[in-house]
Amino acid sequence: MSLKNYILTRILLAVPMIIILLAFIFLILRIIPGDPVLAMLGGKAPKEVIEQKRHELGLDKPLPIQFFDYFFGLFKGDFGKSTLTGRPVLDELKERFPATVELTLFAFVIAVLIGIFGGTEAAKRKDKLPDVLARFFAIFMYAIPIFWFGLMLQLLFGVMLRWLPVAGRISPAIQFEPITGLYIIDSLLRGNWKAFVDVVKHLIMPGTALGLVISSIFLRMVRNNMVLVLSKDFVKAAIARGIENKSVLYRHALKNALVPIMTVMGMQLALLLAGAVLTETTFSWPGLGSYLVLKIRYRDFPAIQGAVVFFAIIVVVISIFVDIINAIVDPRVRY
Amino acid sequence: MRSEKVIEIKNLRISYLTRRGPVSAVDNVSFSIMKEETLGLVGESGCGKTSIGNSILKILPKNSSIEGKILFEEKNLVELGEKEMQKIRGLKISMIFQDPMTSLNPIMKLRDHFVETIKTHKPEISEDKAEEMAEEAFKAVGIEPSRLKDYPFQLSGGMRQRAMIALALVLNPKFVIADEPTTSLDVIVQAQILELLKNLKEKYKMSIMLITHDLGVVAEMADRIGVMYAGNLVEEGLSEKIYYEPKHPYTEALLKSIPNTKPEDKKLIYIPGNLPDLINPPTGCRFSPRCPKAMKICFEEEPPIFEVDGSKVKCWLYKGAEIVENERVNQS
Amino acid sequence: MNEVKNKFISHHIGSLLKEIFGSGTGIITFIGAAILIFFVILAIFAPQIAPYDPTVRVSRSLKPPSDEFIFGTDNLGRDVLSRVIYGARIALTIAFIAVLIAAAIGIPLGLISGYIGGILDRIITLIMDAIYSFPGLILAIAIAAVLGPGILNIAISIAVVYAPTYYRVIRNQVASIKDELYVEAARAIGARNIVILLRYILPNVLPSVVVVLSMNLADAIMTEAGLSFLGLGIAPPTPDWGFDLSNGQRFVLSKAWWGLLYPGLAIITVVLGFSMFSEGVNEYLNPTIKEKR
Repeated sequence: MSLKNYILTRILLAVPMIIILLAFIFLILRIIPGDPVLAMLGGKAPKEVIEQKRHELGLDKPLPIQFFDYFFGLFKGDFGKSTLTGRPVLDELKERFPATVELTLFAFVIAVLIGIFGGTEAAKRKDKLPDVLARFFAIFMYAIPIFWFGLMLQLLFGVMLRWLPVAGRISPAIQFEPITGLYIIDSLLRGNWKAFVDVVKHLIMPGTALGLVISSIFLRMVRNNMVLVLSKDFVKAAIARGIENKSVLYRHALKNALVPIMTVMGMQLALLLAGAVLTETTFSWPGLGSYLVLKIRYRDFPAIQGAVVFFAIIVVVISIFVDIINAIVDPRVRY
Repeated sequence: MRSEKVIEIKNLRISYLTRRGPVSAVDNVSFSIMKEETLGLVGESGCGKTSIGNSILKILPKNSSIEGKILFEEKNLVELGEKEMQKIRGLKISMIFQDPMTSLNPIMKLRDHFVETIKTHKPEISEDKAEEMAEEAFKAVGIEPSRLKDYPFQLSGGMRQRAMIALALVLNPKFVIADEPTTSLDVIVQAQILELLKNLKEKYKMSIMLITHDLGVVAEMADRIGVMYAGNLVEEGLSEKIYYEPKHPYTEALLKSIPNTKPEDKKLIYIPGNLPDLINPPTGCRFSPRCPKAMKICFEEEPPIFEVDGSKVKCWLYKGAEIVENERVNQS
Repeated sequence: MNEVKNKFISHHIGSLLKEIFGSGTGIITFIGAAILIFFVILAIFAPQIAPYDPTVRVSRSLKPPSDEFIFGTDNLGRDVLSRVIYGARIALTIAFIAVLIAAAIGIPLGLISGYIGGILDRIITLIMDAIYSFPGLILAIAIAAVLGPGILNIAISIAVVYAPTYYRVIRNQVASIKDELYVEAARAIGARNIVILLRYILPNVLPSVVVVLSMNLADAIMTEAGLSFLGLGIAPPTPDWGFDLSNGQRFVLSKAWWGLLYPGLAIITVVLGFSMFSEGVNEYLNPTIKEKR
C-alpha cells in the first residue's frame, strides 16, 4: 500500500471513531441524573422559565433527534451558542485554541528532548547512576500533582526569585497584533523582539511544568525500548560494520526504539491534554482548559459540551497524525 | 603463496562475568588463518566458537574480558582502542551473521545500509558512487540491483542472507568471519549460499573463518578445520585429515553423530553426557567425563597439544608425540 | 493486563521502585502499608488528632508556621495542619467510593461481555474503548460539572473514568477462561450460566480485580485533587487538599508558601504510599511474578 493510500484509509477509519466519541459525550451529558437547565438556572427558577429555556436549547425534543441536530450542527461548524456570552461556541474555542497549542507544543518539545536524551543515556548506562537517577526522577514526576508542581514553580521562580512572570501569556504593557495566535511565531513575524522575550518568559514555567510531567513517561519508554533494541542483532551487526557509536545509538537504535513509542503516544496525548487543563488553570493561561473551567463555573452548558467535543476531535485528529508519522518512520506498518 | 598469515590468535582466553562467577568460555586457544584460506571452526553450541568470532571484532558483551593476542596486520587487536577497531570493522574484517532476519536494520532501506557503511569508512566516496558499489555488490551475490531500494522485510530469507554477504564484502575486506551463515536457512538455500561464498572467496581472494556446528557445511568449504570443545581447541588440521583420520575422541564422536544417509547406518549415534559447567570446568581434560577412551591422567592433568601426523591434537592418547604448545604445564 | 495497568500511576511507580530496590522486597509493601494505615487513622481519628477545628478561625490570617500552628494558618485564620489532617477524610472517602463504583460498573459489564461475546460484546467494548482513550480528567470534569458538587457525585465522575479499566481486565480474562475445560465440564453437567459465571469464572478473575482496585486508589486520589483544585470538589468549608491548594494559590503573591506546600506533600505521600502498597498486592497475587523468584 502506498503511503497516500494508507493515509486515506486511516482518515476514513477515524470517522466512526469520531461518531462514537461524539455520541458518548452527548449521552453522558444527557443521561446522567442531573439536569443542565436546572443546574444552569438554579432550583428556584419558575417552571415556565425552565420550560422556555429547555425549548430554546432544544432539550424538549426526543434524544435521538437532539443528537442528530447536534451532530449535523457540528458538521456545519455549529457548536451552539454560549449562554454566558451569547457568542458562537466555535468562535470562542478558536480564540482559545492557539494558546493551548503553544503551551502543549512547548511542553511536548521539552518532554521529547528530555525523554530521548535522558532515556538514551539511561539505556546506555543501564543500572548505573544515570539510570537510577532517571528512575527517581520518574517516580517523583508520577507522584506529583501537576498543578502543585506548577504552584511550587510559581512560588519559587515567580514570587520568591522574581525571575519569571507568575501567570498569563503576555504582559499587558506589551502591545502587539497577533497573526496566527501562536505568540512566539507572531512576535517573530512582527519583528517585535521585546514581545518575543516576554512571551517566552511567560511560556517557560507552564511549559516546563507540563513538559516535565510528561517527560518521565517518555524517558521510561525510550529507556526500556532502547535497552531492548540495543540487544538486537542488527545493532551488533552495525557495530561490526564499523559504524560509529553515535550513529549506532541514534541512527539505528533510537529510530527503532521510537517506533513502538509512537504507537502508544495516544495515551500520552490524553495525559498531556488533561495536564494542560490543570496547568492552564494554575498559570491563568488563556487556553481551552481554562475556558472549560471558566464555563463550568458559570454553568454554560453549550460551551462545556462544545469544549469537550473539541477536545475529543483533537484526540482523534492527533491519533491519526501519530499513525501517519508512524507509517512514514516504520515502513512495515504500511504493508 | 599460502604461507602468509592473515590473522594469528595466540593463547586467547575469553571469560564472562556472571552472577554465579566467571565463565571461562574460551581457554587458551591458538590458531592462525592463512591468506585465501578457509578455516572451519566446529563445535556444539556453547563451545566458545562464536565468542572467538566476536572477540576478533571486539563486539563481545560488556561483561566479558579477553586475554592473549589477536594479531592482524602487525597489530594486536586485543589492545586496540574502540576508535581504531571501528576503522577495521567492515573495512578489513567483516562479519556475516547467523540470522539475516534480525541482522539488518528493519526500518532502513538496503541501499542505506550500504551507503552508510561505505561512507563511514571512505568519506571521500560520493553517494552516487557508493550506490554504484552497492549495485555491483548485489550483482555479485545474484540479486537484482533494483532491490536495493527495498526494506529488509521485503526480501526472502535466502535473499536477505545474500544481501548480508554483499554488505559484508562491499569494501573488499581481506578477512571475513561467517558465523553460522546458513543455519537459519532452508537446505536448498543453504547449499546455494555456501556455493556463493565459495565463489566469492575465489573472486575476491579473501580468507574466511567459518563458524558452524554443522560438519557438513565445513566439509564443503573449509581447507582446514578446528574442532572446539568446551572452550578448548581440541583438534586442528587439514579437512581431509579431520574427516578421514580424526585423532581426538571428541572429533570421532562428532563425526559419528552426523546423521548418515546410507541405509545400512540406521542408528543415530550421540555423545553421552552434557557440556561441562564452564564456571567450574573439570580438572584435567575438559572432555574426560564424556570420553570413551579416558585414562587416569585425563582426569588429573590438562593435556598439552601434540603434533600427530600433521594435525594438532589436545589429547593424552598421543603422549610421547611432539608437544607443540604446553603453556598450562609451564605455568604451574 | 499489563497494557491496562499502564493507565495507573501506581503501576509505574511500583515497577520503578522494584527496579531500584529489587523485586520481592517486602520493604516497599511494608512502607506502603504503613503510610496507608497512617492516613486511614488520620482520617478516622481526625477530631482526636487535629489540634484545632479545621473550619473555624483560630488565629490571625496567613500566619507562618510557628510552635502554636506548625503548618501555619490560611487566609481565614484556620489551622493548616488541622485542615491537612481532615483533608485525608475527603480524599480517602472519595477515592474508596470511586474505586468501588468503578468496579461495580466495570466488573459486571466485563463478565457479561466476555461471557456472552458476539455483537453485545462488540458494542460495549467499543464504548469502553472510547472512554478509555479520552483524557480522563476532562471527562471527569464534564460529568462533575453536570452532577454538581457532593462526595457521591465526585466519586461517580471519577468512577466513569476508571470503569473501562476494570471492564478490559475482566472481559479479556473471562473471554479466555470461558473455554477452559472445567468451565466446559460445568456446562456439560447442566450448570446455569449465572452459576458458571459466579462460581467458576468470577473466583478466577478476582485476583486481577484486587490488583486493579489497589492500583486504582492512587489515581482516584490524584483525580479527586485535580477536580477539587478546579473548583469541582465538595463545597467549602469542608477541608480538601485540592481545594485548599487552589485557595492557597490566591495568596501566592504574599509568599504564603505553607498553605501550598503541606496539602501538596500530603497528596504526594498518599499517592506514593498507595502505589507501594498496590505493588505489594500485585506481586503477592500475581503468580507469574512469584514463579520467577
